[in-house]
Amino acid sequence: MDVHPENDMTGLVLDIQRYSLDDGPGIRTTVFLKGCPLSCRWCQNPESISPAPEIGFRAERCIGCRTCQKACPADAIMFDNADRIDRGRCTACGACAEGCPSRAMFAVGKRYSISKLLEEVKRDAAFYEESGGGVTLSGGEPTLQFDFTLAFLKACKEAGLNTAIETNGLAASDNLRKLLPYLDRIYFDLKIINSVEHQRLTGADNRQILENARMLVECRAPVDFRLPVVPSMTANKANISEIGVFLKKVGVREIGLCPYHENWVTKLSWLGRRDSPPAELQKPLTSEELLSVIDMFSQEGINARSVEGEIAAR
Amino acid sequence: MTTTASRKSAIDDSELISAAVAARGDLSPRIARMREQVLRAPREISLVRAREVTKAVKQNPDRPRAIQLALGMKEALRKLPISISDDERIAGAHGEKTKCAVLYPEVKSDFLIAELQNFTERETLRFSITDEEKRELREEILLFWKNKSAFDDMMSRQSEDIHFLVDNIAIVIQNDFNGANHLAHIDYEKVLQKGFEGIIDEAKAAMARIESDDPEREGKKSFYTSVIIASEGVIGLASRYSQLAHASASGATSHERAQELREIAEICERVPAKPARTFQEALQAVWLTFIGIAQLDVGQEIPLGRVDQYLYPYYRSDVEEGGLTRSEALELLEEFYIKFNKVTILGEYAVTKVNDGNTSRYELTLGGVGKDGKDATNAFSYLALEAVNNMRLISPNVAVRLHPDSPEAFVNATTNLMTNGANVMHVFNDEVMVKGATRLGWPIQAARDYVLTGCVEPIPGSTYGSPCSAFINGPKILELFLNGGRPMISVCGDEQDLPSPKCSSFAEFYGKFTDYLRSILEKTMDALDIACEIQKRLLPNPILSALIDGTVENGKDIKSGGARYNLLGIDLLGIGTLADSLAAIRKIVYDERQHNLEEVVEWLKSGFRGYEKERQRLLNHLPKYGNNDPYVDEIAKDIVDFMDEVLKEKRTYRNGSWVLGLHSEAHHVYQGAIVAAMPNGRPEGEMLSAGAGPTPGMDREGPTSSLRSMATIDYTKVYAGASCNMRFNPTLFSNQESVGQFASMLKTYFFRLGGQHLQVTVADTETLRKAQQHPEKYEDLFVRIAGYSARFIDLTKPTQEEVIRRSEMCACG
Repeated sequence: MDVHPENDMTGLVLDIQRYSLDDGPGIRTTVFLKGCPLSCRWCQNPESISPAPEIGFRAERCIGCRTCQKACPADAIMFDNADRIDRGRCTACGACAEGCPSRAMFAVGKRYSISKLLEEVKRDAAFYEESGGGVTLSGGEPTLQFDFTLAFLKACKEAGLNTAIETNGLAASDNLRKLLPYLDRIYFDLKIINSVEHQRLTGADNRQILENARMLVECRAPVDFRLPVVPSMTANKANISEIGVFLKKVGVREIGLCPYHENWVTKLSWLGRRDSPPAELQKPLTSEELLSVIDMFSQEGINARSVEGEIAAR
Repeated sequence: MTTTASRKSAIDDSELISAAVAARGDLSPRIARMREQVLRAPREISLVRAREVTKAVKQNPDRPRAIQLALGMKEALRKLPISISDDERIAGAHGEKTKCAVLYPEVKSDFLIAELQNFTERETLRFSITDEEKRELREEILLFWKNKSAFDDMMSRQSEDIHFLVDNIAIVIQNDFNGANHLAHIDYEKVLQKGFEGIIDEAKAAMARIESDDPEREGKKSFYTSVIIASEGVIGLASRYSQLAHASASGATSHERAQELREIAEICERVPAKPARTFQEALQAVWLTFIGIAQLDVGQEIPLGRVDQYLYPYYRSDVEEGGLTRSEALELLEEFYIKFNKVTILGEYAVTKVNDGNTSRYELTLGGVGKDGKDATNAFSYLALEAVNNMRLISPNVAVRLHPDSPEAFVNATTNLMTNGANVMHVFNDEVMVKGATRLGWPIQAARDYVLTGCVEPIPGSTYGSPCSAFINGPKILELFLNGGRPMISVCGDEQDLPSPKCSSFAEFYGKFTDYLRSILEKTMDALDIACEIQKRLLPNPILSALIDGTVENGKDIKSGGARYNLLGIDLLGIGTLADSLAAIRKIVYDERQHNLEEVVEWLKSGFRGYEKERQRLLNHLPKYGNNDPYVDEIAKDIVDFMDEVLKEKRTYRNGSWVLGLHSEAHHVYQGAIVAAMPNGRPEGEMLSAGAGPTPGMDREGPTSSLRSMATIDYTKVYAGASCNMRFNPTLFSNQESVGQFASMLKTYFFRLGGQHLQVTVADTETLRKAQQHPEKYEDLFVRIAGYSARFIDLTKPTQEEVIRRSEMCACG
């Protein structure tokens, strides 16, 4: 079961989230890989987009000890700067984060070898066995670190773990095919069908995505489609109707809904970003909006349900 | 990606909470009225018992204390003003006011004297008392008990060392002087099968059998006599209710009510004097027995035992043959539950704070294996859970026993109730509990018959406790150890002298620390021997003795060691704080040699003033219990193993086992206030870790890691009970699937990892903050404290903050 040392490459991991309940069956550990080819306007994990390590700074935790300044080899710490980090100079070496007593400075992205990451996820194996859970690879976009993703999934399978992936579908079809033998479940995002809108709101063309979606259904891969329900951007009548048409064309009658949550906005300042998202992204999705999306899908003959469960059902 | 940064329901969470805590809509009108009444009733005081017991002691100066107390209790039950309300079908109350406390000045009088003026004004758990009641209490009752209570006697006999440790709150001698006198396996079945007349006959027969040359002849005679008097007291109360019901029937508002009153009259004429025959008789018998127990001695915690075992035969035969419907049985059971909420305890304020929010705990035990080792869950177990869900009250505290073969439906019913926001129950692992008792020498049948007794303390069959007799403040012990036997803050009393803790390796340091811990444990055990001797002499308990196996055979009160089996528990407080602190010292002083021990002690003595950078590093960069890191988890495990070894070396005063506990009620909040800064980065005065749990907020890797850390401890060595407390955001349980995942997590923790106990509070931070601001809107928002529930709004501010600071587990990703 051990990974051969020569195969023990490293991947850039953003976070490891245990007791994840919405990313597949059972109790799961979700591994977020850093880096994404899309840059969706509503992205709730903006720190996952860049494929390079970054440094985050939470001003409210800073005690002003200046340990970071002494530790920084690039002289990139500016105490008179609100962001504290001169992002132009910063090489994201992580020395400041290592030294920061209060974790005001923190590394965004940490390198893990396959064996180390496997060890991390196997810690909860007893919970997976009891619940029918396992490991979910997410991101960013996990296929962006394709070799690592493939090797890690292989290692998980060798260790007898149930596996799932969350993908935006923007990957070479061949690569996706190579992952299939090692995946028990694929959660595939369908965001926007109109290619112009897709380009405008996610920064990329969607032809490859839709082709992959068709391909996965055709080869009977265990794929579940999901829609991030973002007010006006994805949750509009035209888009939902087009998604419905697309799904029916490929022969799928179900979709999972991922309700938008606005509380990622504070994360922008951690990365030194001053831009603020448009007003419609600064408020939460209401249950009425979610219900109306479910309703619109049902008019298309598609059974849509929130991956977070029935709201206030109990 | 679709992944969400942090999961929060799209709707206001507080709506979920209030929907969850609202009483069920389909309660019968009489149940709804009684529930409402008890929720809104003010706390009052009933003086009858204190008055009559004081008189009995004064008037019978030459008789043994057991007889004085039995006479006082019998007289109190004869004089207590009684009534039956229009809604009641089960008669009886332990006091003449809706929700009241009776007083026990012979146990501890100092606080009553000191706090009498303040009962109506304290921060929480206020009591109304009239001026006349105050006068009588002061002049006729407390004057007599001044410096004469059992507690006064016990403290006056303790060594200087113990006074030093107690004054500095390094230890707390509880041992039933602050209540909790009933942590025992009470044989309610005996009342149901023999009745108190049968118990009296048994005592008379045993008395007649005493050999004329028996050296303990006099003691045995008084014991049996005290049992007879106390039993007569309970029978007498029942017949008063019978007469009252009979007399009221003629003036009843309706024909139906008149019929009900006649039924009550018949039932109370029969039970608990004679064996019960029906379900309603059984409930009535248990309730009147409970009143007798609460009248005799401090009724802070009176376990109700395995109700689904001893009530089931009556329920089944009534349903099968007597025409009782399930919903009728449910209504009676709901009324039975409501009654326990009328019983409250007026505690010393300092103690009230450590039992924060809820001083009286009446715990019932459901499910689990039977004496034969097979699953004992039955139809009544489900009915009992349903009534709990319908009532959502503080009492009874509901303990559910689970084992790998518990029926799936019962596990589901249990986890549904744990996660639906009612916050009124907790679960225990049979495998660990049964093994825990057998390794101490209990026979397997008694081990399997354990009940929960108040918070999280198990008691096997035929056994008298108390499993909650003292607390050892782990972090305070470390503070004293690091500072040569002297407290770093709030010094009380003469200092001890200890050698310098400086060592060349962590192994040597840890060895010296555990030597010191051993000396504290041994002193505590000695102090408890003294306490048990006083208990034997001044606080015998004839009614409870009548209901605990072995006493009649031995001719001895439980306090004299009459029970078949005995145990005493000592709790370690703050194991998370202690393990984190020892791990920090190990890492920075011995492994990495970044600092020497003197520097660390200097930071602690200064309360980290001027050392914020060091404090932040300790807090954020060192291993913390709760994250599944063996570096620190193993220390927690080692401390438990060590204490278990020390406790095994001795027997208790009543020739029982010493057992270790890891539960803290709210002691971790209040005792934390006088503990200096700790090497884990905790500032001076902050709360300690609770129960067997991690330092609040330090378990950063979610519930599975937290549980894995806690499961490092061998809980078969923690037979006085360990509390494992978690708080979850309600959105985590928004659908049946996620409740199912919670059940999987629970089963993994219990049956794969060896966990002992789990309870959850389901409430989000925002709701709790709102409840602080608008308490009037959150009258039935319950939270779990340490094995018990309390109304959030009844908690003191520091404990409210503690609940809020518990890491809120929410699903992310």
